[in-house]
Amino acid sequence: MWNELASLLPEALWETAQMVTVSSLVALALGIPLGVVLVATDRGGIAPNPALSRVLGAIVNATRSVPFIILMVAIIPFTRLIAQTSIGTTAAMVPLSIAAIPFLGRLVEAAIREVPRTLIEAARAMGASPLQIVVKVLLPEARPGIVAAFTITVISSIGYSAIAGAIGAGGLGALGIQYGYERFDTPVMVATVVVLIAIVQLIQFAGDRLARRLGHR
Amino acid sequence: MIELVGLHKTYRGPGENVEALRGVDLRVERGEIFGVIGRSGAGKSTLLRCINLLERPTAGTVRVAGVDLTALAPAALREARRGIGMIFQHFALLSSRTVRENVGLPLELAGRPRAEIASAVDPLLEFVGLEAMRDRYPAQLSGGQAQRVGIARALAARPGVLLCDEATSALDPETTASILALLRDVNRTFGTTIVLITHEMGVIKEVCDRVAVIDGGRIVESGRVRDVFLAPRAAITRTFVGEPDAAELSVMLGAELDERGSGGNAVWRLGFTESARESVVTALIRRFALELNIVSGAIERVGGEPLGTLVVELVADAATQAEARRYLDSVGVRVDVLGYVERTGKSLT
Repeated sequence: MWNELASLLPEALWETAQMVTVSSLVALALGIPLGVVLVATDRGGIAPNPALSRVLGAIVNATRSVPFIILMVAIIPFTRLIAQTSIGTTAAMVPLSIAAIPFLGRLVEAAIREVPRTLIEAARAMGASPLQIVVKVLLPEARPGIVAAFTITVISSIGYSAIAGAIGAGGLGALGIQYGYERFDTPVMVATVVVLIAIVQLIQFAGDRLARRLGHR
Repeated sequence: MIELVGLHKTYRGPGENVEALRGVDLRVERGEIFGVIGRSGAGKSTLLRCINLLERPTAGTVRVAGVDLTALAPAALREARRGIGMIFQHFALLSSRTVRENVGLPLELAGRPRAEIASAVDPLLEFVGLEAMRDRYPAQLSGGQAQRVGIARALAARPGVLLCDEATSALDPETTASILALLRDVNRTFGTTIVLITHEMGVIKEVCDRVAVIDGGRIVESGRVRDVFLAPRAAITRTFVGEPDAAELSVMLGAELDERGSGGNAVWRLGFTESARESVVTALIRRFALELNIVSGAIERVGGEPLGTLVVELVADAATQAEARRYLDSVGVRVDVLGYVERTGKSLT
């Protein structure tokens, strides 16, 4: 049993790491701009565009209200287009990313809204353009909040990756469900859960530390 | 330097519109320190924000250094704003930047090279007395230090105008005095035209050359600080200078003050400089057949010069009152008639 675990666990861990890393990076690349656009285009924002704001908000809400397991199935054609397959670790990265982008986007939006309005006003008074306000004021000032938001996104991606595991994506979730739950192999299930807990703790700890270091408050 | 003509600003609310400015005309000369005083909600903050178009007026024009800002395209307006510095009640420093990086921000936004920014920032920090704090973050500064950084930052792009939005309202009295002294230094050293808004008469008295009193979105009184202080006309101005209004005076007099009347004992406000203070009361009593009741009085420093105001009731007939008035005019004491009280048995007539 221990031998089996020793060979399965590292592989599962690696698959989870791949899925979570890729989807988190995609979320980082697209979720932060999404958050910025949500704030900027809002009524009274630095580049108001109520129509765009409303459309984006609706898309974000829709994506976020679809249960992940349904989202995975619903976007299979899209997944196939991107990943050339609809099953396995690589394929799971697509729905994981699609779920993580609006998730992080909303959290980044909230983090940016925490930046005091008077700082935006001060920047405008100095002759800053909307883009300069984003780059020089909003993002740096919201950095601790954005780091915290990203930490939450990574952790929630770990959770979603376990759901993806249930339908053939591999990873720690699959290991726990197939070997532990379905075969009544309690030690494997416990070991998987312990590893997951350890990873989440580690990521939360690192995220908190980084956020604190960046926040000169 | 600054010319506001026919400024109106209406905020569209969900229910009713709010008229923050209802036709404001204002001229601020180059190199002066101009104060705008008003209660909260009087429109002073909107007025200040109209000068650099953080708020766009609903109607009217804003000219700064001869340029009509309301006619500028966005890029040109941003360029023009670099010539107008601004400081804020709560400092508005970026918490993610050190003191130096905060002060250099306006130059960074203007796309100046790094070396130029570095060489511009240090002398400014020295000017505001914070060169030792340059690598600190705003959270590590006291309120007074933070406002000094705010001032250094506002000066970084060498603006001709500095707008101060309640710059001392979050500070204790001692720190307020030091920040006001710094503003005067800025004005003298760089010739910067300063416009400040406040709800404290003390601030106006301390640094301003001229003052405008704003109430209900209109300028109700303006002029040299000294003149406004010695002879406040509008009721709101009287409360700002701490003078009792007609109702309070009636209580103090123990009789109804008739502001429009002409008979009975005259109630005057006398305004004078320190040197004249002692002689005024004595001379009046000795020279004329009158009794003098002192109702209230105060000595205040205006622009570093002591000025006194005294509210007195003259128990005298009309002819004596006129004579006394002529005498006071001749010795340079300012007289404003606040009203009359009728007293039975007390009047000499």
